[in-house]
Amino acid sequence: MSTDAAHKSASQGGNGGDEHFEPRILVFCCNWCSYAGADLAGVSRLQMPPYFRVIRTMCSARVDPEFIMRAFQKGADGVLVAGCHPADCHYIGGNYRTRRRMALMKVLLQQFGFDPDRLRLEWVSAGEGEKFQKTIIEFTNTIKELGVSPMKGGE
Amino acid sequence: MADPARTKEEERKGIAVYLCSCRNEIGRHVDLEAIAEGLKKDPRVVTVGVHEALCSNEGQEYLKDELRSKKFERVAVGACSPNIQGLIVSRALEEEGMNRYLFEQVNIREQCAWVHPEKKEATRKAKSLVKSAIARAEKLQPLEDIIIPIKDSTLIIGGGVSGMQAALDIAAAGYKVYLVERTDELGGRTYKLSMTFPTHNCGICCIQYCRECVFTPKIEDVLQDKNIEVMLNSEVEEMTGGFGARHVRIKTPKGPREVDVGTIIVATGSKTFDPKRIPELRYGHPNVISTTELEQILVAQREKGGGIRRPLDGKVPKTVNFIQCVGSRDKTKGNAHCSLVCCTYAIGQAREIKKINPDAAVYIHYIDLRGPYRGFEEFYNAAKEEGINFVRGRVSEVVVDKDKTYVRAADTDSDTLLNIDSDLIVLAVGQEPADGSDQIAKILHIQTDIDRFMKDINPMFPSEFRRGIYVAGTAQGPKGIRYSIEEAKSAAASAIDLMKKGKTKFPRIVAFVDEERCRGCGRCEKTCEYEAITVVPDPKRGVLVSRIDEIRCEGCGACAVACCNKAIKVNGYRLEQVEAMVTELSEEEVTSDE
Ligand code: FES
Repeated sequence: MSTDAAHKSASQGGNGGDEHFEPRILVFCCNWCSYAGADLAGVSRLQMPPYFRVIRTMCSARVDPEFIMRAFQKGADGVLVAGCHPADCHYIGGNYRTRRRMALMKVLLQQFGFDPDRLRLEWVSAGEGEKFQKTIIEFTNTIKELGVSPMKGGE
Repeated sequence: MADPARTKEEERKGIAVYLCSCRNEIGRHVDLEAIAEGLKKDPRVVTVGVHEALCSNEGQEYLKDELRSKKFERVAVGACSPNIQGLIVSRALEEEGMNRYLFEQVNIREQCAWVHPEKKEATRKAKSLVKSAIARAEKLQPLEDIIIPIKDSTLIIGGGVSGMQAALDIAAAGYKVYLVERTDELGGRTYKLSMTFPTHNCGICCIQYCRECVFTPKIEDVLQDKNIEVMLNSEVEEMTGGFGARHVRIKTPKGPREVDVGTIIVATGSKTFDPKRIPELRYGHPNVISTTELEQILVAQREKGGGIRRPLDGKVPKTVNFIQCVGSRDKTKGNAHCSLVCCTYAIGQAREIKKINPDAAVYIHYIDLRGPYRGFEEFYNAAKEEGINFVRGRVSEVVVDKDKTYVRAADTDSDTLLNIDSDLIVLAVGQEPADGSDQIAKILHIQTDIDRFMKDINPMFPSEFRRGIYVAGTAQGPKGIRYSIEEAKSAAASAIDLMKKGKTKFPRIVAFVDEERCRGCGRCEKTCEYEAITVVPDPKRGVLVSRIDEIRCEGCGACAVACCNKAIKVNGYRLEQVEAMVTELSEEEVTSDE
């Protein structure tokens, strides 16, 4: 997908989405891989839909379930957690913990009435600017299709 | 803006916000003035400034001036990625006496201005990011750096050229060196070469070819140095301890040996690709040899004379074909990376064959010639003048027909297919990480890359791979001898620098335990990858509590999440600090309605 086309399709929303819905997306990036990957996307000027906001933590394993719940409680429509690829975590095994934790979080979210797809885990290395872009575009589309968060009156 | 009613002694309060236009790189896409205007209404904010380039000299002077003249306590900055110029900006404030832990920078360049073309959208995003920085800055706490003592000894893993060079440099500076080598001799792979680039002979005295004269002095130097303890046939088994004082267990033929060191240099080197992995090249047939084997033939000829003869029947080969990139630059047939040295050494070997046997027809089949070294172009031109044939194109296979061997190759310059009857075929094999280097990476907690070489923290700077641990030579990636030695020298210089100071300051971004809340369950102890946490009895209260060794802690924060009673906090990433940002960014729509 070319950058322009990708950007357009994301900003126009998915099939079922509301034309004017501007989702609120939070992205947790670990400092060593994913944050650097996001920076690389920027340095390479890879255009992306403007609805995501990055919060940096040292490792994806620092992403406390509480942060995610707080984000949804405060009105986020989607949360993306990005970390180093398996076996690549700067702190050795942090991302394995993240992976297990995220699987549980999805179940938990569902019990709270959220579509589990509103939470996503992705591995993005420092060299994968394009993957970061792709992930953001896809995730934005997913969230657009899911619509407004149940916390804000959506379903 | 100082309030005249305030006295000089009055404490600093509030947050100053600075937005950097990055010489219009940000300013072009983000309406910084509008953001600044909006922020002025925020009661937490005492001053807002927009500057052209905070990281420039003028920018730093500007910040210092601001800090001197205004009474703010904390700073929130919207600029480039904090991983790029963040340090420069916060350092300027620190020099002027501000506690640098009260500084927060958000990224409105790489992750905003550069990726969102619509000015309105980008401005909105930048604004919410800056507000989240303010929210976080409000919750930050002043801290002191940790002072870490550094032991004055070094462990060097690998006794090749890089390891030996680093050992000599460090020993010369007066520090104790433990040099661990897996095999039974020093010198590594370089010791087995017949000649080195660019002198095209052994490299030092040039009177005659002899490997002894190149490396023997160095090996002798290493062996005789009183500061260097060489352990041959030995391997590192375990590392414990933290930055500045690592405890390492080494398996030696005389039994286990334990050493305490302040710094570690990894020089585990590389190995050559095994050409058996590409069956169509028919490696194994006596006419097909690797460049490493050709080196051995060249060494033998140098020592005993007798010319270059092929292994099959001892005949002098009339046609020699070099096949480049064996195991390199093709993921399906080995590795994706370029091994960087093969073009250079193959040309060297080809010239050597031509010199000894001027009648031989010598071909080099290459995809592109890559020799990123000074003098390479001249080296290559000399080879062409000497009559070596360079053929651009891939080799599809080596065909064995009775006792003859043929090279099937494309010549893309003349657009023809070649079938060359060749009595000696030399495979220019690439470099891969040495056996066991992944083990070492694991033991030392160093990351490895997709090509399995060790990975720098920042690929732009040759630097530490982990605090107090350096990597030199081909353990980091394929490279020539000279560049390996350069890296060894720079790693040694960094290690010496650290040990000379005897201690170093380190940011206190580490975890700590709220002992009142800790129930001593030990989950954190199991979570910690660095053995920084131990559960110990607290005699005063008669309960178990976790204790964290600040020096061993790397600050990842995994334990804080694992703690079921929120007793562990990570400086700089406390719950309330991250949540302030989360809240600000999630609610944005409501709050940005101004
Ligand atoms: S540091 Fe990236 S996931 Fe742990």
